[in-house]
Amino acid sequence: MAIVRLTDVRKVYPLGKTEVHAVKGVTFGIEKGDFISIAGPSGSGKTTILNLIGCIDTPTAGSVEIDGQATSGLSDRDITSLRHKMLGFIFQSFNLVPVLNVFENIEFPLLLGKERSSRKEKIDWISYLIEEVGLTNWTKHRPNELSGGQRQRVAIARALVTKPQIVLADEPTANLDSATGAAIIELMKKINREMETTFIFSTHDDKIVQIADHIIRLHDGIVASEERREREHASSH
Amino acid sequence: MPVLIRIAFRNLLEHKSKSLIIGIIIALGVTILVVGNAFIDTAALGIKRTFIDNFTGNVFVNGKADAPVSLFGVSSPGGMEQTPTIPSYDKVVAWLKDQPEVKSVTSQITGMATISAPSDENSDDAVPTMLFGIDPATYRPMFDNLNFVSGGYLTPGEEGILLSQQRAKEIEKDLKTKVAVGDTLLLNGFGGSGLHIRRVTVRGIFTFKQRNDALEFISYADVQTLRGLLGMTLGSTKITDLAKSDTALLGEGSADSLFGGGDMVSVDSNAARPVTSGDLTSILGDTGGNRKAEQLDTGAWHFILIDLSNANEAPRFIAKTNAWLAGQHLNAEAGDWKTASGGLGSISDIVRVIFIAAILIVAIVAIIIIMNTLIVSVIERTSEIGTMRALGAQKAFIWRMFISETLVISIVFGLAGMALGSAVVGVLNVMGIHATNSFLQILFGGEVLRPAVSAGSLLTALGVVILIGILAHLYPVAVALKVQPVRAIQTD
Repeated sequence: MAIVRLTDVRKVYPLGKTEVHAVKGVTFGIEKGDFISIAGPSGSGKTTILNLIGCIDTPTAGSVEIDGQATSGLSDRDITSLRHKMLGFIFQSFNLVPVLNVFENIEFPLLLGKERSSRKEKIDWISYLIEEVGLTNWTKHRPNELSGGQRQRVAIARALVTKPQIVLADEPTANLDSATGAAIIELMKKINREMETTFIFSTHDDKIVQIADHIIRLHDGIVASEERREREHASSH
Repeated sequence: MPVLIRIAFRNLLEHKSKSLIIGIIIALGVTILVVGNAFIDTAALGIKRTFIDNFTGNVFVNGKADAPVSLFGVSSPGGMEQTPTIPSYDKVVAWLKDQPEVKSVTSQITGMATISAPSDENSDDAVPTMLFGIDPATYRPMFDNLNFVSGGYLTPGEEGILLSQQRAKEIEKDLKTKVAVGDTLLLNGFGGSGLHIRRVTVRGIFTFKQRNDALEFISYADVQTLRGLLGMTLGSTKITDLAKSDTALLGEGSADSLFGGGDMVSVDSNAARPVTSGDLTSILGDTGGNRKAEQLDTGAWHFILIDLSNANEAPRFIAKTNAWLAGQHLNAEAGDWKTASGGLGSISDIVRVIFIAAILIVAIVAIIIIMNTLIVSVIERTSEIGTMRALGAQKAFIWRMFISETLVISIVFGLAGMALGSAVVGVLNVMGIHATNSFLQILFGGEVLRPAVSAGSLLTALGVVILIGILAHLYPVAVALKVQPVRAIQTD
């Protein structure tokens, strides 16, 4: 069963007295463990699709299902809980909480849920993630003391801390130089293999697109092409 | 909660200028509140002590009138209503003395009089004074409030007047007569039965131990002298409620029907013998009423002043006394020192109301400034709020985050304001604020006010500042709660 399914999804934004049709009837499914790239030029609807999958925006028409659950009609409380349990986010501008250090930023989503694990379990898990993203020596630093690549690594660790089934990354390399961007995508791919977390990222960089094993190309709000490649597998953590 | 407090502290430090603007407003507001409250509380306590210790006692009993009754008489429009005496005085006093809460009891009558010199009997020059008619045997032990410049207290049963030094100076100034102990003065009083004049001997000239220019118009006289001045005689007019059968007699028939009967006594005007007093006596019958009209009513008192063993018992004891008076169908009532002091005791309340009104205006301005600053803060943090919402923060978490920041800034700067306010009050306490006029003397309850901070006023200040903080944050938080998670992506 697809972990994400979009069926004839449309999204219309009002723009003054006119309307912008950002997504015009998109249908596709994403399998668990996919490392999927949603590619396309600016204005093709990549971010809108990610927002709809991430339940931070609602479709004008059509349905979005996450792990078999339709998101339309859910209350604000329920949809927030769904985001917390099922989804992790990596933003283009990192969006770290400026007053929290690396450790605290990664810990933050754990403070929002009702699940209670021991303090030691939490610390071990966060430390593991910090090690995975290579920031062991930076745990006490605030975001403004980190480079762009380091900030995005913090964002990746934060997205993974609640052990979500899906991580959404909206142009995660857009604010990074190409070498750092490539390293970030490699890190995401490594975690995808190790944890079998589904990664959905948008990009317009074709070199990065090629790393994905499932590529959906958008053009003017519709799916222009869909390509599947054989997955690489690795042992999970 | 610890993480919210941590975020709150760091956000406040991160936005130092905004935090400082809000913080300074809060700290200054609390400082004003602490100093103002200390000032008013101390003044209120001073007025209370002045009146309870020197004039009113804890509880005050008076005869009921149509207008409020105080130690200075009836506050009727035009001031013409006579102060009512306490009905069944002996019974009331006996009951009061019998109560376990009562420490001591004294009684008083009050009236206005003018003082003139005996040598100047026909002159219009006179000095007004308020006279308190007292029984020195019970009054002096209860209110040891006088310092004698010359002479001394009235002894029990002694007739005479105790003049305040200020009145003595007024007499000297207006009547061109130096007053000394042993001199005789003329007192002119106006009571229910007309104008009364009494000669009195000056027994002492005093100042109040707790100096207060506004009360220096009071002089003390022995109660019998004042009763005479006020026409409080056994036969003085008393308002009596007539039964319907009595009023029916007045409403029907003519004067002839009352006086034209056969029982009418007639005197033969042609009689050879002149009419003697014996004839008149035999005609008029008993003239006891005439004698009564001239005989002072030794049981007539306007007020009973009561000191309680425990002053805190006053409200309960007043209620108990009023219940007893009502049960006995006596047209009298009990009140507290504030009732007894008339408007004077309420001055601190009036000042407090003005102060609270001023604080309310300041609070509204503060709320608007803080609200604006917080809204700017919310707008600046839209992306952060959107990110938190996207990561799974419920609206309640965002609300708690902002309320934590509000509480942290309110408490931190509130405490700073309390410390500053306490320091200011401490300095004022050491220096003392001197009353430069009689209004301030009443307000301060004496010549010098030494304000002191109470725990209650500090807690009130903290409560007010937290309330202001919460009110100020309501709208900005409502704006923050409307931030959608998608703003995490749209902003920046």
